[in-house]
Formats: sequence, structure tokens, C-alpha cells
Amino acid sequence: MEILSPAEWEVLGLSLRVALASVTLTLPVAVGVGWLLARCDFRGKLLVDGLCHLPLVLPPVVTGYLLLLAFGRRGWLGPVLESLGIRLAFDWKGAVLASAVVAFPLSLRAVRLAIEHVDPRLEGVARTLGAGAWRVFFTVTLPLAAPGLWVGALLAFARSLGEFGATITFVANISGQTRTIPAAIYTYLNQPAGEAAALRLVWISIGLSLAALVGSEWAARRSRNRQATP
Amino acid sequence: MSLSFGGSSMLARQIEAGAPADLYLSASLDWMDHLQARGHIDSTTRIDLLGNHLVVVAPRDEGFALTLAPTFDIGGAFAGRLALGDPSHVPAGIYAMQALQALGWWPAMAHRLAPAGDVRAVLAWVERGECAAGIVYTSDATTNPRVQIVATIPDSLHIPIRYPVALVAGPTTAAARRRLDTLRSPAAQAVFHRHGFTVLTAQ
Amino acid sequence: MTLTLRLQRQLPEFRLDVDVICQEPVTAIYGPSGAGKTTLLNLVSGLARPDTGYVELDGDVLYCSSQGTDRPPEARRLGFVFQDDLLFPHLSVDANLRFGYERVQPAERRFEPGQIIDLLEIGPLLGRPSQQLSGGERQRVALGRALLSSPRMLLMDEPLASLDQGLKSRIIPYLRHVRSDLGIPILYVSHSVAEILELTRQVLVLQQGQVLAHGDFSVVSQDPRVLPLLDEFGFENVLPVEILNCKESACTARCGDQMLRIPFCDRPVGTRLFVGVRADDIILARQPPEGLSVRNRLQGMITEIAAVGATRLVTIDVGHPLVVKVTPEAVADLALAPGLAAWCLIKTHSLRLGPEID
Repeated sequence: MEILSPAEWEVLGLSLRVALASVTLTLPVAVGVGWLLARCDFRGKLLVDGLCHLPLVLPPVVTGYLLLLAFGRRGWLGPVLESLGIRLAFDWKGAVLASAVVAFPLSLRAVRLAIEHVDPRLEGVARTLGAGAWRVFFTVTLPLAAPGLWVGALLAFARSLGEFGATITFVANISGQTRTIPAAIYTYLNQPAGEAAALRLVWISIGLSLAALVGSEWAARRSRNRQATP
Repeated sequence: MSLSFGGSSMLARQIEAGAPADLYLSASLDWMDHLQARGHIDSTTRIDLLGNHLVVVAPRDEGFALTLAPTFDIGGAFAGRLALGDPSHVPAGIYAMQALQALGWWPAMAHRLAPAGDVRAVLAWVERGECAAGIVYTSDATTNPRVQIVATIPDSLHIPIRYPVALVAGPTTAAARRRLDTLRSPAAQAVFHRHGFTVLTAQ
Repeated sequence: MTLTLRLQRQLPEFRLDVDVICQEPVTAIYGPSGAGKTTLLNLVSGLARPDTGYVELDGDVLYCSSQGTDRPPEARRLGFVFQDDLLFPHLSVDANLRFGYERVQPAERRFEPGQIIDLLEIGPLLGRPSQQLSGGERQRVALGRALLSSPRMLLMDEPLASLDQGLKSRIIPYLRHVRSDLGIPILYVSHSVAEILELTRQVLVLQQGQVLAHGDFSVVSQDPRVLPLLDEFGFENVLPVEILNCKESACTARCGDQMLRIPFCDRPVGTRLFVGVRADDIILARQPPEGLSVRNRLQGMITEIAAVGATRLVTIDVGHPLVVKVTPEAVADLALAPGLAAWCLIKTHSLRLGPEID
């Protein structure tokens, strides 16, 4: 007996692709903005901080609608994307963007905290030893902040796996393109005979989340051990 | 009396799980049948209250010519996807799919769909120009200035759009029965007409 | 080596204003905590920016506010050793050492890892994670790391402060090696006079961001503004002596023309070292007294009497200036005045043995 039907395998595969792509998109931005908020002081810092946390506070459907306003065909960035030949609506790339946006505040917090915990004096020493600012960032700051980055990646991955409201508003629920696990569960639940399939997907969700949790914890512990103080 | 709005399927599942509802007004016959088969509604009180029509809409400034005939090249009439309710479970989408099949347009359109969770989203996509065309209820299109109706779909192309209403099974109050009667009153009929619905049973 | 420093910076508590030229191999920066010593080093290294100023090392302008020159820290080639070793926790000892070394062009490298590792005796530590070392080992590695970046000058901010006395005395020889064998100039911040004197006589005294005095210790320590600072941390008088012979309980030494009994120290005849004595451990007399247990009587001439708070500081030249703390009544009773002859009485055990002079 098959564990999953072909349709369910497709849903699982799409969800993983979207979640991994979302983490790849979110994490570097979280690192950049996290460094800025952790190390720099500037006018409007509080405003930037607040804006970054908007996706956490807004209902996902509102976030999805704002994405439509910003990245849709007639949106603010619509013409730019059109000229680059990028279509986000009704496309898995749009699902990635929606997931990345809602996951961003979570990974930002984890990353920022990790960078703040890196002793700035270590960065100072590195500069006196001849390393320029970028070198210091990549050879000192980032390695020492690594445990926090793993946490940020896990949070982004988990949030992306579960992302539904913004996605469905921005890119619809198109099988093969944007029907991720939560969308598929929603679809099955809406069909009178769909509970069994929905339940299977729920178990898969739980399994994926646990695997991600364990994996990230292991990775974080490894990088923490490299810096263990006796 | 308090009102709880939601998709017909979600409401049905809530009633099935024991939600304290007195009345159920559904946009889908299937879900009413589902509840009736499981004894969750008082079938003696069930009637078809309202009807509706489907229309094809386009963004207000991007209309196109549309002839409702199997020979019409629907694939070439507009670019991009056709927005509609998710045919797998949204009543509006189910009716729309039936109409597309009856017109023989289904093979051309089946992989060019943008299925939405509800008609509101369909309207949003057509309004924003994300979709060049969408299928919604007349009641939704007439009140929306940002879309234009490109064609009205005849009732013959799909199973009748019916909004059944019934009392939920179990002890009911006189107030609930009165509310059911009020929904069929001339005053209520006028309101429904104004919003584009057709009234099926007069008192 | 010539280091020109003109730095001004407003700090929360006071304004730092320094205008000095350092030319000695090792210049010690001495002052109480909060005087601005660390800030000064940070400004020199480029880790902090002054409000206005000018920093030049051997003709190379590192900072000039009027011309907008501001060399970033990584381009100044000034090694920095901190009180907390600040070894990179995510790197092994070996990787720490090579961090700066790898960033120097091969042609400009002054030292090779092997040379420094041998000098500081850190060979056995190389493969270990940096967090597993003891305090003394960490500081040696930190020193080695700074040296391997081929700096033109070393900035050291109380590098021994967090070590116990035993460790300190074991690391100081390494610092002397660095000074003498490697020939790198050093700016050495410390609040311990004894520690400073192990390395140099050249002292810059900083208090509340202002330079009180700058020069040889024997001159600096006579400055009445400096004396109160020395009181807390060391001894005001430092005498160079030469050992003549040693018996079980004491040694005889020569200071200029005068003889001194100093506490026993196991050093060979001819060794030259510093001995210190506190200004309030010296007794003044107009006549050489009889019948006293005090062995040391140094004759000299009073050169100055300064009033500092409720005491009087009498400077007397016994071949070497000595500062004696007495009460105003004593000055009056003995009619002390500059130009008069007087005797200094010092108990053998009031003399503290200091570092050797080399």
C-alpha cells in the first residue's frame, strides 16, 4: 500500500521546495537587517524595526493583499517585474515570496539577538589585526553568531511550511504551483470525503517540523560547542 | 439573534461538530444534503430560498468580446488565468466548472485556472488586473464598480444555483421559526432583489 | 621611533586633551582608573575617533582631523593587546595566531610563527581550542597574535591586570624579550608602578584626560601633582642601588656615594636594581641621631618643601632625590627650609626590592 498518493507526493515536494527557497531568500536579508539593527544607530531605527515586524502583527490575508498591491501586475513593482520577465502571481515563486515575508520577522529576531551577543571588542581586535570591516563580518561576527542563524533558519522554515493565508490571497491555490501542505489540507477539509487525506498531510507536517527542529538544534549545538567556554 | 458568516463547507462542519446554530443558510445544495443525510437539520423545514446567476467579469478598463458558444475560441480571448472559486469545494467554482464543461471550454481552461478560496478573492484579482477574466455571481458583480460584466451565463449550463435554508436539528425556539418566516417575507425579498439574488419561494 | 599624539575628545566625565611626542622604545601610560588611558589607546589604534587631533608615527600620518585623514584600524599596523585576552573563541590557538599573520604581505612580514611561538613558549598549545587555556597562556597567545601581524608598534592595555602575581612575574620576562629582542616600540598602560618599572623608566601620567607629567620616572614622581596618585599604588621613591655584598639577613648596597642596608635578596654582587621606599616611611632629622635601631642614614640637602593638602612634602637630594612626607608642625619645629642639610632615616625593612636595572 502506498504511503501517499501521487497528488500528495506533489504537495509534499512543493512544500519543501517553497520552504527551502523561502529560507534561502529570508535569511540573508535577516542577517543584513539584523546586523544593521544590532550594530548601528541611526535616525528612524525604531521605525525600521517596527516595519520589519509588521508581517507578524498583520492578519496573513492582509499581508497577502499588500503583496498583491506591491508585486501584482498593477502593483508598485509590477512594471519592474514585468520588464524582467518575472511573474509572481499564481506561481510558486509568489508562494516563496509570501512565505519569506511572513517568516522574516521571526528569523530577524533570532539573528539580531545572536549578533548582539557577539562581543564588539572581538570585532575591534580583528580590525587591529588587519581585517577590514567585511572580513571581520565574515570571519568573526558571522561564525560567532552561527547558532542564532540556525535558529532563525528553523523558524523561517517552520513558518513557511505552515504559511497559508497570505499565500492563498496572493497566488491562489493552484495544484502543482502553489498548493502547499496547508493549502492542500484546507482543500481536502472542504471536501466531504477528504478527512483521511487531510489527516495524512497533517501527520507529514508534524514529521517535517520535528525533523527541522531536531536538525536545527543539532546544528546550533555543534556551532555552540566550537565556542564553548570551560 | 447573532449571525455567523463563513464558507458553506466550514459552517457545515461546524454544525456537524455541534456548533450552537439555529438556522443554516447554505450556498451549496451538497453541504445541505450532507447535513440532512446525517440528521443535523430538520428536513421538514428545508426550502430553497434564493437563486443566483453566474457572470463572466473583466477589469473595468480591459474588457473583451465573449460569445457563449462551444465554437468560440475562449483560449485566445484573453491572456493569463481565469479566476474562479476553487472547483474542488467552493460552490461558485463548482457551478462555474459545470458551465465551462457544458460549453466545451474545460479542456482549454482546466490548466489556466486561478482557484480562489472565496468569491471575494476572485473579485480582487480581476479588479487588480492579475486575471483578465473571472467568474462570479451576479450579486457580486453588480455592486462592484471596478469590474465589468462581459457575459451572463445561462442557468441551463449548470445545475441550478440554489441557496437552501433549514432549521438545525434539535430543540428550536419560536424566535428561530419566526426568523425563518421573516426571510421569506416581501420586505426580505426586496432586499435580496436589490443585491442581485433571485427569490424562489414567495410566502 | 617617533609617535606624535595630539588628541582631543569630549567624554562624559571630562575632556581628554593630550599633546605629547613619544620617542622611547617603551612609554608607560600611568594613571588611576577612569583617567582615560584605555580611551587614549583606542584613539591611537583607530578603534575610536577623536573630536579633533593628529596622530603621526615615524612620518606616517594616521589621523589628521583638519585634513580629513583617518586611516582605518586595519591599515594602521598597530598591534593591540587587551586586559581580556580577547582570543577568538571559535578558532584554535594556531588559527588565532595566524589571523593577523595571513593578512600581512609576505614581503612585509617581520616575524615568522616559529620565531614567536618559541619566544613565547606556546608551542604545546597550538592545536587546542582557545577556550581551554589558562589565563597566563591566553595572554601569551594574545601577545603572539598581535606580534605576528607585524605591527610597527604595540599598544598594551593593562595586559597583566587580570593575572595573579606569580603569573605576572612569569610573563614580564616575555615582555622584556619583545622590547629588547624584537625592537618593537610599546605603549604600555598600567596602574601598577612596579609593573611599569619592570619595562621602562619613561612614564606618561594621565589623570582626568590631562597629561600631568611626561618623562623619566625619577623626575615625574617628584611632581607634587603626581605624588598623590603614586601613594595609592606604589612607592613614591625609587632608588637605583648596586649590591656590594650579602649576609643572611640583609645586603649592603651602594646608592651613589652612600651606603644602604636593604632586605636580603639572593642576587650576585654587582647587581643593579631599584629599591622603593614610601614617602611616609622616611624620618627626617637635622642631626644624625644616636642610639636608634635604624641602620640607614642618608645625608642630603633640602631642595624644596611643597604643601599638599594637610601634609608637607620635603624633597631632599641625597645624591638622588627623595621625597619625605612630614607634618606642618614638624616643618615648623625643625625649622626646615630649602638649602638646609638634613638626614633621612630609613628602616631596612621599609625598603622594598624592585626590578633589576639592565
